[in-house]
Amino acid sequence: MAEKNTQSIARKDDAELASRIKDTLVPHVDICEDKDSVTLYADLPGVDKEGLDVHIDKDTLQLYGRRAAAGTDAKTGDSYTEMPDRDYYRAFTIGEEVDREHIAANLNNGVLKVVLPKSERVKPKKIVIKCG
Amino acid sequence: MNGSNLKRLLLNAVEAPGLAPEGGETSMALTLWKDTYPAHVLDDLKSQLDRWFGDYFTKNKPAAAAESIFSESGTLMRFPAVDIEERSNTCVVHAEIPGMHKDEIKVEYRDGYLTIRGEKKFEHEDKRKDFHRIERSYGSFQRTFEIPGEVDSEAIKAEYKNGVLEISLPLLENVKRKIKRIDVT
Repeated sequence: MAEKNTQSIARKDDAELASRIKDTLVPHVDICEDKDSVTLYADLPGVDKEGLDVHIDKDTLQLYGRRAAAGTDAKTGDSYTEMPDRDYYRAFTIGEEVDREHIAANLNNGVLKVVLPKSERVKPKKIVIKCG
Repeated sequence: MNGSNLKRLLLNAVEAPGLAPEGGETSMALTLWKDTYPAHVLDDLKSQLDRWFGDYFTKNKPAAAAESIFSESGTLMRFPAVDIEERSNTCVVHAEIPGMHKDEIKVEYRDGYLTIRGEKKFEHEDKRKDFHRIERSYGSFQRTFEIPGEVDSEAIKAEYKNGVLEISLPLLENVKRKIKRIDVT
């Protein structure tokens, strides 16, 4: 699973996507693999289920997260900010071994977990050796 | 770049004027934290360091603030990132702490200081997995902020939602800063 160059996607696809992913944050991810699947964890603090868009198109996995609006009260005083008010976007290339029909995603406490199961044909198989 | 250059720069930064706290500003209930934090004095150092390190840190870095080894606000990157603002007589603190359980976050207010602490454990269910990338942060964290003004400490509320901790500290409206003049005899 390799990082996808977002610039190339923006050029290829429609203008709406290009404007949407402009000026977005790149979320931190952990990616791990075992014999059955590849699992991706992405930190998306401030994103709720409604603001999340996980999209798979051919060989590209795209993650897009929109921050939930933080309160409606107008600011009345000074403010100090370290949290950038921007959406998240990141894309990866996924290999043919991923079973696209059974990808599962789950968002919990600002962490997105995507499980990409491997298709049966690439899983390691034990070959029984017959004596005789 | 060599060590002595960096050392000289750091010395310069420390000796730079403007570090002394400005007195007399008593009108605002919530003073801008940045003003009392010396990071803005280090702006020159920041741009120098960014130039020296250049692509080395930023090239393959997927971090939020990929443009700089510092965060956008000019301070060194800290975990968790926070927003502090004053709205309708309440000081509201937001902190980005994704992937925690609410019981693992400790929030404490004492003598005008708010402390957020916790530990994010590296707990992937299957330890035998092979990792391709580990970019998320793990480990203990603690940050403390001075909350200026009188806080109604009984009415402080904290909520953890979508990986963001929100702490509301109601400011006591009728307690204005009392200035007591002392006569010199």
